[in-house]
Amino acid sequence: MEKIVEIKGLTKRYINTIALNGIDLDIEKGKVVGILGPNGSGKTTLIKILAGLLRQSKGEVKIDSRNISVYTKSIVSYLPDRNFLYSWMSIEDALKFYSDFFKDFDIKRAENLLDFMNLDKYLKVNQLSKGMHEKLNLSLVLSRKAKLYILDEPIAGVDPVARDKILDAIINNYNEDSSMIITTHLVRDMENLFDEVVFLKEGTIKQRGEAEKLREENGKSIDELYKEVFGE
Amino acid sequence: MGKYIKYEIKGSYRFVLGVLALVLILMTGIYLKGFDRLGIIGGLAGLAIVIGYIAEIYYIIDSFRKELYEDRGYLTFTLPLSGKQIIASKLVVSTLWILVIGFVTMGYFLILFRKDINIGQLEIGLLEEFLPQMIYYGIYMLVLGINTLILIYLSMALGRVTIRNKKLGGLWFLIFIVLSTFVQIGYNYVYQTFPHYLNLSSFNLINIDNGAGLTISSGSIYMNLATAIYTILIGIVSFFTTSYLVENKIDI
Repeated sequence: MEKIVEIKGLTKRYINTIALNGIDLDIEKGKVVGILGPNGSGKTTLIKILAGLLRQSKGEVKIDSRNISVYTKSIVSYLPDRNFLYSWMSIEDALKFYSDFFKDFDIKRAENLLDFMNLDKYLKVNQLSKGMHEKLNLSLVLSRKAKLYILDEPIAGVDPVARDKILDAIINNYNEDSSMIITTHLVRDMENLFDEVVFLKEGTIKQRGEAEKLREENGKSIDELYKEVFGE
Repeated sequence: MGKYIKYEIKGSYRFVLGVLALVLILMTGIYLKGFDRLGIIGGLAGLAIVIGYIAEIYYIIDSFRKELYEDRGYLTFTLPLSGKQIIASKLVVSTLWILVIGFVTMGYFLILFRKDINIGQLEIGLLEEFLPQMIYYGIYMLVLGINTLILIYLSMALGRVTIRNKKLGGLWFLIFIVLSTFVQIGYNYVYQTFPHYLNLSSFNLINIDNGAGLTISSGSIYMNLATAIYTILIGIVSFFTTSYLVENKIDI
């Protein structure tokens, strides 16, 4: 099968820590991959490298067979774990902004998603609560017909009602021709989404495999396996 | 790039309008206070314009700082834009606002104080003799201003690459002082070594010893050719270095 992401010997070093230590990871097109691990395991570092926000210290990273570049940014739809929109924007401005910069942005889908999330497009970005921010950001990211979606902790810190909405939006709007990488430590809520899972601990891959196979082989849910691997 | 310029303008025009409103109110206040000596009026109005420029330059610096150290960088640096496109857009918009503030405040100054500065008498002299030279001088100063902006961006980018700690982000200013000192030393060396000057009114070439980058003598402005080329080269090198750092070295 064709690969959307190819990572070889990826290392990210900071002054006195190693965030990623020689990771090898390939992701096939059309798969939903969960990158699972506790805080500080290197999940965010890994996807920030894929999004083009961090540079690797060593190793090779390719998306759609290309090095990280302006091209890869045009085919990756990235949801950071923070409020990244400019503070002067209204929701409507944010839609226009995405529409201007990303050729694959579907404004109709975005408007439908905003309706689904009960978000008024005339609201200013700096008036939104944490949950509303998360819903808006996800609506923008899922409204692109991207080759690769990267979602960093999409349900962290939101209330259970917003969490359900966000999970529904991911399930209903995910395009099967695309691939998706989701990082989370809230495994129980998200494990049904994953085709494959990667357990990341202290910058190295502890275990990886197809979610269904891992469940069968271990007789456990991914959440239980996660607790076993990370000793929680 | 045009789209990014559009959003840079959209994100900053309110601030610029606020600065303009403040400066114009200050100038009107000075005018209404009724000082009867042009020197005092001119000085105070000039001070108001300087305040406007300081506010704008602070805004330009703060805006780039936020890209490098705050969450908005997550959006800017994941757009499908090259480092050159991002830096060029920021320079275009910053230059645009500097020109707008300059033209509006100077225009308002001339309208408000037209009686005091007897514009009728000045016009003949200005148009016939000084205006073309003043325009060249203005362009020269604008190029120097843009160069300083690029040097500020370069210092901030270097600061971000070398010092990851947000609290120490202000150290870019030290880098700026060091870079500016080196650039100035080079500038002095260049005009002392190549003392060929262009008269900006007659366009004749002459040699001037003990001149500077720009020299005013007997009512004419003389521009040192070598420093003009040096200034442009420094600007180009700084621009490409900053763009390279933004695209390939900065970790957000």
